[in-house]
Amino acid sequence: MNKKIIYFGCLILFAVLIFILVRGNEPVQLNESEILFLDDQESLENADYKKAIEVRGFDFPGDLGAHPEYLTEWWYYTGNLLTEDGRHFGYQLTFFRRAISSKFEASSASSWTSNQVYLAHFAITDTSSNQHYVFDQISRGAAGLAGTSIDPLFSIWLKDWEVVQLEDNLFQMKAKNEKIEIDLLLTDIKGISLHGNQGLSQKGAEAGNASYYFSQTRLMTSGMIRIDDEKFEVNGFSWMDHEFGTSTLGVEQIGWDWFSIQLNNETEIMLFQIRENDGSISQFSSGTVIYRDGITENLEMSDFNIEVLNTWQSSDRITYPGKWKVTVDKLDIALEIIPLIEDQEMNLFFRYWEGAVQINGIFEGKEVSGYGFVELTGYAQSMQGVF
Amino acid sequence: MKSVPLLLKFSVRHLIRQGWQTILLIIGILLGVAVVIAIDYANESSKKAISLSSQSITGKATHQILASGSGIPEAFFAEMMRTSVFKEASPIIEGFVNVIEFDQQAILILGIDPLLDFPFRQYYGSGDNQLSQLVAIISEPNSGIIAKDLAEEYNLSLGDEINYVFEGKPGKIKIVGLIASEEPIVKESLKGLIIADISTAQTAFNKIGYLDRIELIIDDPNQEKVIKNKLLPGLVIRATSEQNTQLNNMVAAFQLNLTALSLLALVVGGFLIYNTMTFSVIQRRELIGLYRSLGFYRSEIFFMIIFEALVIGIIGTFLGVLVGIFLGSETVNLILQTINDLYYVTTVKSVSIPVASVIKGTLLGIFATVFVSIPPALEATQVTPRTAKIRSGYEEKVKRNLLYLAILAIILFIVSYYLLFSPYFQNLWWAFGATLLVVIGFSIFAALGLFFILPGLSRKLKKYFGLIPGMAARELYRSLSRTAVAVSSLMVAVSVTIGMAMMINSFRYTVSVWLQETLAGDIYISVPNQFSNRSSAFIDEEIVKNVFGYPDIDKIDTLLTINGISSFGDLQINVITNDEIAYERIFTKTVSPIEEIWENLESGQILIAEPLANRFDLGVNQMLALETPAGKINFKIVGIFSDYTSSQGYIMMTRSVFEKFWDNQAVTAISINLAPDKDVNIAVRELKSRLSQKGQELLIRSNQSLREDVLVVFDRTFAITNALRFIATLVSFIGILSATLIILLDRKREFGMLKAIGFRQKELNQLVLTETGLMGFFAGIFAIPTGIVISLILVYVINLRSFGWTIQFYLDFWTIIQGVIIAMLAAFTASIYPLRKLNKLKPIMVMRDE
Repeated sequence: MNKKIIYFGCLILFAVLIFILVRGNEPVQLNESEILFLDDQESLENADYKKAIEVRGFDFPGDLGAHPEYLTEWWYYTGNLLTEDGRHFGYQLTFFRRAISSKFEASSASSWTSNQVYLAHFAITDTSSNQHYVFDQISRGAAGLAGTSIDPLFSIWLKDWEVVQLEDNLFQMKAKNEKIEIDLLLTDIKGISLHGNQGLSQKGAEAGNASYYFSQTRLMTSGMIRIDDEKFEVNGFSWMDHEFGTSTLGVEQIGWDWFSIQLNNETEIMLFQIRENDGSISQFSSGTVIYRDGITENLEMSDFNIEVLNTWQSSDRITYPGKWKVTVDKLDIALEIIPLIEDQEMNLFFRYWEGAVQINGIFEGKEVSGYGFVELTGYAQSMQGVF
Repeated sequence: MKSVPLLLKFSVRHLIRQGWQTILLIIGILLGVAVVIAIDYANESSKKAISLSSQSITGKATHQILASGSGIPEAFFAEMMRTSVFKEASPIIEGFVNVIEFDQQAILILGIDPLLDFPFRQYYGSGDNQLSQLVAIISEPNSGIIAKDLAEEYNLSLGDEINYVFEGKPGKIKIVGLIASEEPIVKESLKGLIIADISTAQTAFNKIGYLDRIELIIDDPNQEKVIKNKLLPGLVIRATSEQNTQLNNMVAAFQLNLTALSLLALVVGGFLIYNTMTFSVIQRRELIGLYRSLGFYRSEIFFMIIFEALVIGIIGTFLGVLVGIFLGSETVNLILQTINDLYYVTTVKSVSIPVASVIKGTLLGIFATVFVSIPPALEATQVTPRTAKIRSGYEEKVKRNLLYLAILAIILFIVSYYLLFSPYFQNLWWAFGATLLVVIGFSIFAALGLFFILPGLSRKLKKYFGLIPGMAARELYRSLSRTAVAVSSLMVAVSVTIGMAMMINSFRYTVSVWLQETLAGDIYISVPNQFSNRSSAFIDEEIVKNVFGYPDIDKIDTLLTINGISSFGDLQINVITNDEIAYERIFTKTVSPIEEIWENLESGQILIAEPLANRFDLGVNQMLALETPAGKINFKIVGIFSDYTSSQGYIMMTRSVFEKFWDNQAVTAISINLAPDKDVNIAVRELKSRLSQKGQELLIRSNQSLREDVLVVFDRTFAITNALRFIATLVSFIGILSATLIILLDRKREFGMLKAIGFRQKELNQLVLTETGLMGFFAGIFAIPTGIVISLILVYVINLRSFGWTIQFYLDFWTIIQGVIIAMLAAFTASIYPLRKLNKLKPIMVMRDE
């Protein structure tokens, strides 16, 4: 028989063998799985959460802790810090709490049982290199993984991110991952300021479209910031917002613009304006001025004006305001607010812009400057239902 | 070369003309291939089922943290999360349950934290929407997610409740989610799962405060070291790949055994093909001579024979594949059952046909057929036109070769001895190779045996039984080239069935003797679970107290079976209170006299089961290090005892020693010895009614019924081996049938001649029956020593190496007689058809040719 045929035969056999061998190691390709869920989750109307309706008294440090009988709650730490040679960093460490069921009873002996979920956002703005680093973590509020404590002093943590009250006015903040880290000591200089009507901050027309809201507006801050392997000694001021409620936003409201302003005359201003579906500004927008001595003055919607001077567009064409002029005529305040860098978007589980800003202008006729933080929600997605 | 197609046409026509012969050949190949494919298919499927079942458990984790002998304290997990030691970590609580709605099928409840587990498993899909929905299972106690397919199969929908039994206790899960996946692998592995929140699982499985495992995704090798340094005593970190290797190694020996036994069936088939092809050449010597004188080349003759083999091989293999797939699908469940009994709970049942198995079997079938046809094909090329007519020339040559064959056989024995006992050849394949060589060696001896026995036998037969029996023996001797090949092939076939049967019988005998020694209690109480006779489920404390309060007890002991971790990997620890243990075990080695063993155990030494000793080459007086909550502790081995409950082996430790290191007072089994005058069956009934309302389902068995249950599992384990033996027997039966048939048909002319010179029909019948009877008889007789040697190898080398069990060899005469009967029966059956043909034979019709 022809030798060629034999060779050919061998070749085919060889090929078949190779085929078998290779086939055995075929990589597994995975398609998406999809889970269909039982649609029996309670609607907000049926839910049994408490609402922010009446003025209540606050007791600290007790009320620094969580209020799980309300649907949502957050602890917002933001700050502007400088190194000795003037390099600027902004930071944000926020803890969110959300209840997932109001009909929950801790009947089980398991310490994992819970109806609370905690979420945390951690960001650093490195102004000089025009970088904004953003991370988040999520956990159930149980089994020691996340939660708050007020016994004897306040602490809040989510996995390895935490804020711990060390003494009456002293707090330690730690958060880290491979990319960034903060380790800061915060000293509360002014104490706690209540917003709105003794801490009841009305956001919409309906009863319960409100939250309980108070802040520590001047936390003297010092400590360390790490980016990759580089560590920086920093000093500056932080701001803490603590807010909780159930149906905070009204039906027509899609988001808010929030300003925390720390001026070099030891005065702070908090302002927020709520935007309606139709583009108008809600009459429930308000603000607070916190004077040097800690005395506060409420601002109504008619007391202030926020003018957008510029806009910034994200890479996927979502437009945020990018520069503002804030005026409070009755107090002779006119401030220009400029983001330290443009892209300080928090593109996470829910999407918003939260960034460090620089401030210049006039306060009661005198020139002032300072730093602050601005939060812009509802531009990428409606906040309705989220908060 | 143009003449080749012509020759091929000749050979196809030859195959068709030899109808019976061809059909039998095809059946032989068919059975051989079918068995190989069936076993390979079943093995591959069960392997896949294991990997799917474990994949659904381990997910994308690169590492796992496991606890030795108890759970992982959950506070440790939170601590590690809060101090950044763990980055991607998922705590797991899991347990196998039997779901009533799924026809009692075993299914895994995987208790996870959806927020932590999300990156670990592909089931959840992606998208934040899925995650926010998943969170719902956290706050709803006793809710779970199952596969959509599973729900559809059992007509369940969202919101329905399913009822399960875990360790004898009932529970409920409400279905709040259905997972659908397009990916077949995910789909299959999902079918064995209920995903529930960790709080639900912790409560259901009564593991409050503890975790079963922690899964980790680590990409930085340094992180593993960091974690290792932070681990509490009694915890270990292990790479997932290592975990899977451990799992695969466990089952590998078992599967290899089956593969090798299936190949043995192919070997038997191969022998028969060789035998038949050789005949077909011998039969056609004249014809081949004619082809040669017509001018065909030797090479052309060679390819003609190979071509015939190829045709038969392809047809037989094709049919074999079909039968093999069918048999395989039947076998998968048997193999999985055994794996579940002995090693590992698989939750995946149905697996598709592995293409690789089919291709492997096909190639093997065709190659084997062609390969064994090479010697006869070469033989055919030796035929020259001149020698073609002279059969005696061929016979002379065969007899001359016998000496060389004898030498070859001895060499084969030496080589196989070396392969079996040399420490360099510990792999099981060597042992199977040696078995094959031994078999070939014996088949040569069978031929030699015939050469020496037949002349004498012929004289004796003539003297005592008359002319015709003597003539029959001489006739066999004269055509030794054919008879020897036939007898030795048949011998191989029969010996394999004898060997396998004898091994199984020895094993069963050993186990039943061992059970008698070991089960010294009158009544045993345990919780039913997935492992038939090795429950690791805890008995409720209240029930234990209640049993201890039962009157009429002479002696009562508890057992705790728990998984520990040693430097060799996972080990089962049996914690005992029975101070007479030393008298109830058969020791293969001990350091001290039996009376002192309990004392030694109480002082912190341990006993180990033989398979464990064999697996890790452990001896008495050696130390075995175990991870305990008190750190790594070295235990001295005081004795090694026989055990057949698992091929993994286990450690035996006294309760007081165990409790020194572990904080675990649980009980998994209780054994009771009744007061002397008490009736066991009455006591069992009383205990059953006493404990029936305690909320936990229990197995309360008398010594007798437990022993029976163990043997049921044993028989189940060997069901496949028995099936293989049956098929090997069938193949050999067919082989004997076809070989005898060919020999007789080939001698048609000779018989015609005998008739012509005055043989009566009755005498002719006597001649033929004596010849075939003798062939069957010799095949059977020679198969006895071969079969015994095969079973000795199986018992003392292969079983010992693959399972670590020392079996008492048990010579079973009935098995031997069975073999001889099969051989003779087949031979006689084979002579029916030729005899009927011979009866119609007219001498003139055959004489005309001369």
